[in-house]
Amino acid sequence: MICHEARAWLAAEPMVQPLALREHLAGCAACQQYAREMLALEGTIKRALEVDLRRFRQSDAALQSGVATRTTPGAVSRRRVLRSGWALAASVLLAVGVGVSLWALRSEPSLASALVEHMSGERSSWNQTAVVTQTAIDDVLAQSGIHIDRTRTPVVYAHSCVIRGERVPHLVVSTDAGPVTVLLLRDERVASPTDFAQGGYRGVLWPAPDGHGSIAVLARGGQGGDLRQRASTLSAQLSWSPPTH
Amino acid sequence: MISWRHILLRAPVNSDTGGPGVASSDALPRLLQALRPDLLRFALWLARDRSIAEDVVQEAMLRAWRSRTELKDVAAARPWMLTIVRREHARLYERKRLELTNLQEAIDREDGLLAAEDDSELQALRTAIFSLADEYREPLVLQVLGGFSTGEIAMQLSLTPAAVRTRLFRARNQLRVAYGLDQPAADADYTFDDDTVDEESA
Repeated sequence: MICHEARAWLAAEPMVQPLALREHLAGCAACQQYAREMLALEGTIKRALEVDLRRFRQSDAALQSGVATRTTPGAVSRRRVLRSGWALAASVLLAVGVGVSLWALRSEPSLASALVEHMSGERSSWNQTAVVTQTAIDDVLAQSGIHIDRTRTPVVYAHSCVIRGERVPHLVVSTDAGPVTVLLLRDERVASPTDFAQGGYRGVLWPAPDGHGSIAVLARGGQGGDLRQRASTLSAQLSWSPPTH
Repeated sequence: MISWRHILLRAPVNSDTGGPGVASSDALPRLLQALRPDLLRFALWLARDRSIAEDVVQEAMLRAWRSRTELKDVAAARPWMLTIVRREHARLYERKRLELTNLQEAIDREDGLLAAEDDSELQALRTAIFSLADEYREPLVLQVLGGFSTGEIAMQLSLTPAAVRTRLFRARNQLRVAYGLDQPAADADYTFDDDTVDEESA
């Protein structure tokens, strides 16, 4: 083994030293130094990868507080702005504003955040124009034990997603007032229709009949029209039964 | 609907392995829960997005629960779960065709996680790892965090061991420079040869 082979090996597998490498290192001071450096670097790489999961949770807590949301370009710029003193004051005002707008969801503030966060992560769903077949919609809904009567409102996106650990049918319907997102939340219950607004989105959580869960209807900004009316209409078209798995 | 939360709730509080394999055990939910921090870290470095990481781990745990009869040995639970997480991550991208995110946006989004108090070098290294191309980052994470051997990584990624070593070497070469070590570990174009290296490692 020659020097560049030894160093390549040390970079590939610094914790494994085959005989040929050991023999080379025994007679090469420069590669011994490389070996020491790579071992030290390896320890740092390991520490680097072991991120503090408390920060993970703190980040989630920040998300749930509504002070910051993820993935949207606005979220990134908001975080940058937070680094300045002016923005700190702005963020306090924002937090107050969000807090006021979330008054109706004070018993379950993280649900709205989770929904908005999920929507933000699937922004491409709003750009869909091709109508999804009824069979595809049925397949998605069946995974959660839900059936929908044929509707005149075209569905342009249908996926089974995971939100807060539950499989959730995620639909986007195309309306005259713009795309409207529908999330069918089998394991989230609300006592009464509950409006929320967060991160540039507004929505309503609508209780499903017979305590089966709830229906979330969301739209961006001023789009979507009367979301309560849409939720009510949709609720009447859905039937909920035991899931298929 | 089955959720990971429900699986945990259904598991008896005082149970042991209860049989020859994990499949017959009520301890599996708690075993997987104990592994969850490792799985989250692993998924985070693969996905570079904490929300996707959460989803991937959630899906992986559900998948593991449904496939629990395949796990015969508690000692194999960690690599088994890490493999499921890796596959679930790949599956997620195939299924949803997730948009590639701008790297700087991803770094900004996860800067809280990349931060290392009073250790700017560690933070710089985290950012450098975060910035590695998938083909370099994935085998590195599998090796360092997952504890997989080169051969195991090769099987998971459908590569030869030599190809895995080449990627690992190039990954660390980049990290070495990012970490401030003045010289790369070796010629950046160096490529491992299957025959030569395998003979040496034997």
